[in-house]
Amino acid sequence: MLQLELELNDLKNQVLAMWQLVYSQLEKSKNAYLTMSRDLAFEVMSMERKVDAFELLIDQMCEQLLALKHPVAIDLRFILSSLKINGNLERIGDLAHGIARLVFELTHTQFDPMTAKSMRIEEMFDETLEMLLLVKNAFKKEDNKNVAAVLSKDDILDTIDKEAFFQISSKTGQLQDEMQQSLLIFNIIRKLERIGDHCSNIAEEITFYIEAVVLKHGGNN
Amino acid sequence: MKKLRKLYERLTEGTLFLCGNITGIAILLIVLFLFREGIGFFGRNSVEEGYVLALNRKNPVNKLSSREIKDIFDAEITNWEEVDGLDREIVLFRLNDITNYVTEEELGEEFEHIPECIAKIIHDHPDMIAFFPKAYLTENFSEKVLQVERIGLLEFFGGDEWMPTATPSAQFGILSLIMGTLWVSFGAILIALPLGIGVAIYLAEVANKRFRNFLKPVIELLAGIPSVVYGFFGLVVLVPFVQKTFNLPIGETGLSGSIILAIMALPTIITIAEDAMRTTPLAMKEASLALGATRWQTVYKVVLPYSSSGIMAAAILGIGRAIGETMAVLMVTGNAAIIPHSLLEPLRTIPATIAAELGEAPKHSTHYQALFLLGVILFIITLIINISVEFVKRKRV
Amino acid sequence: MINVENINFYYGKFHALQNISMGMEANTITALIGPSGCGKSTFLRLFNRMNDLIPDTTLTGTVSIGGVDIYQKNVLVDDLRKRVGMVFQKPNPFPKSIFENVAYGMRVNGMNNKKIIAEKVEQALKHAALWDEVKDKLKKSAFAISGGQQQRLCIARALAVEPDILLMDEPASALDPISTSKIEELMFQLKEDYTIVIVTHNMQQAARVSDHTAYFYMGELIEYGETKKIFTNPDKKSTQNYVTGRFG
Repeated sequence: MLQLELELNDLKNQVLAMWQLVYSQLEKSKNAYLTMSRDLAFEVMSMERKVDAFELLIDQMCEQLLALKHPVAIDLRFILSSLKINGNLERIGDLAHGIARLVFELTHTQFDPMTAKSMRIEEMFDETLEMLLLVKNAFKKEDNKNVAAVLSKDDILDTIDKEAFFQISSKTGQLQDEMQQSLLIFNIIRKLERIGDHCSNIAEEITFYIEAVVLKHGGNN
Repeated sequence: MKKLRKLYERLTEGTLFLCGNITGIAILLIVLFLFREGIGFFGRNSVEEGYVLALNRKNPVNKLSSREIKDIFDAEITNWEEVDGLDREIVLFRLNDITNYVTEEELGEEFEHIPECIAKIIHDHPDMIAFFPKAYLTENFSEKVLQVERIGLLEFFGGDEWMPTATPSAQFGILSLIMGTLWVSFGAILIALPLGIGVAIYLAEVANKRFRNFLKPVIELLAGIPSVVYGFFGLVVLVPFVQKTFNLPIGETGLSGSIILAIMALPTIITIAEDAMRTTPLAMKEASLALGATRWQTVYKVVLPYSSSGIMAAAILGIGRAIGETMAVLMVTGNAAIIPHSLLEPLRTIPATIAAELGEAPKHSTHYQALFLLGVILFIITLIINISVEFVKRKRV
Repeated sequence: MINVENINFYYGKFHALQNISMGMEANTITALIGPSGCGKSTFLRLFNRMNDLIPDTTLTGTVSIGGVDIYQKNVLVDDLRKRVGMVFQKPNPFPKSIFENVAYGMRVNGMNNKKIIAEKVEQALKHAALWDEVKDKLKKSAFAISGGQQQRLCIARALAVEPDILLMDEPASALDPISTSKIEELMFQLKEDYTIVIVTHNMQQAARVSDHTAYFYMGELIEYGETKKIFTNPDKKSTQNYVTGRFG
């Protein structure tokens, strides 16, 4: 295998490792919310530093690859998309961290299963996790057949997000704790929506990398 | 304007084409002339034009070879039996002997009776063989005119006596000449080639720049000195030296010839070989040195193999010069047309022979044609050398 | 492994290398870059004393390999050149067969055991990634193969003497891109067993291949450091100007 290929593989592995980390951050934050567990929330928050370290490392690897290896064509697209995916993953990690922090600060309140169900938060968590997994596999296998699925899942998230607003505004006459729990759910949903957006961005980057087709902002064809 | 230029170019092309062709044709014609004159030699016999040999009518012998005639007249063959005749002693007769048989009065006031006298003498002596000018052959000569065998290839190439002016039968055996040529040439090559290449190596690889820039033009100058000058030097300096060193009766030997030829061939060999060696790419020599080879290892493992075709060219030209040299060799080798047994004896080479004798040979005589034939042989020897070297060169590449 | 201290080198009166000091570690690839005429080839040739062949040159300072000053009186140049091999810019195989080219170094050193020579030739050709392509035509002339193959042959020839250090003077500049990339790949493998110093006027090549880079300008060593650094954030502005192509 060429030296360049070896180094590109290294980069890919680092990105996947970061992905793994961020995924588990999100998963754990879901569990932290569902169980309103302070410990789990804290675990997620302490992963933040590792995620940041990954981001710096991958940035540096991309910079060096560009400076020293002058990649072209698919190699260049790979590195450019890895750079952007890196950024997206870091934001996702940040958002997961944010979710955990919200939970952490409201563990004195009770988990409200009814509101949770009506606002479809668990469903949203699952969809987001699935999106993250789909794009991860697309990146890993260099196969963008699931991009459409990812993009359509984003629509679902957008729907849940919009409804959440109306649902929240219809809740009156709640006790403070209950209100806080509802607001928690609302905030988490907002964050999950943005995670979904980031996953869509990642999906577009992967399409750019594999097919040199620009999907974002209406594309270049 | 353009048309004029085109015309001019066409004209130049045409002229050059013509010149080239004319040159080629001229060379071809010269060679053909050489061959024609030379080949004509084999149709001749060795008895000089205008002379005859006559025998008594009753003598059973009809034909004799030139060698036999010579031996008879040298008294080496004394009995007719030795040439398939009767067992009788041979009696020789030359024109000057006529007074042994007849008186001056019988010859006549203005020698007008010579033909009859000769005829009578032969008639009276059955064992006689007579040699006299054809003009003295009577109209109705009743005796036998001897047929002389034509000179054959074997006799020419294998005969070891070169006496083109002997009478009655000249000898044209060129073995001694060929041997002489070959001995001197090989001797010269043996000295000049290693020495020449050695000096070339020194100049190309070892000498520093200033020394080389001084020596090379000097050597090239030497190449232009006329061969007579070398011959002179040979005669005055080399020959006495050889004579003294080897304690010989005379210093004119094959060795002197070889040395002089070597000296003449050296500048040619040196300059051409040195030029060839300098064309070795520096990169190749550096590659060899970078692998840990010493300078001398680089020379004989890289430089020499690379420039081998150039060195061979140098060798051919040097050899060519050696073989074709005339004047200097003539002056220094002693001019003895005998087969040499060592280099310390006088000998004679083919070019020297041609140079020395062509002026004296009557035009279109047998001698004259023999010399041309020698020229042909020289030409062929050189041709063979050139072709074989070309062949070797092709093979290497 | 290789160390130079305060090197000054003169061609006659011309001060070709000015006060250079640097060191190179074993089993690394160091690239020497800089514009034409900056002294990088001259510097390279210090290490196998090829500059000795040029008349009227002067060297001050020390050049040491493995701790030993190679310009000392008692150093045998031939032996030095067996430890420090060189590959030149243009492929320069000898007018001999492929086998004999690789065997040349060994024969010149007095080795004549046929079996050992054959083994080492095969080893060297394998090391130079050329064996598979020429194993059936070892007796053919070295000129019968392509330029890229000839250059790898020259590398095999240099490797056959088993040097410690390999000096490469613009080894791929006369080759097509595919041959060039083959040779660059080769260098990564050779790094494990040899210390390599390469002169190149092709910066991208230096960036691709080397661990350390030294930037020369007009006989001076302007900057020497990790290749990563030189090409992402060099210390000196002049270095940056050169690598970004803004130079001259």
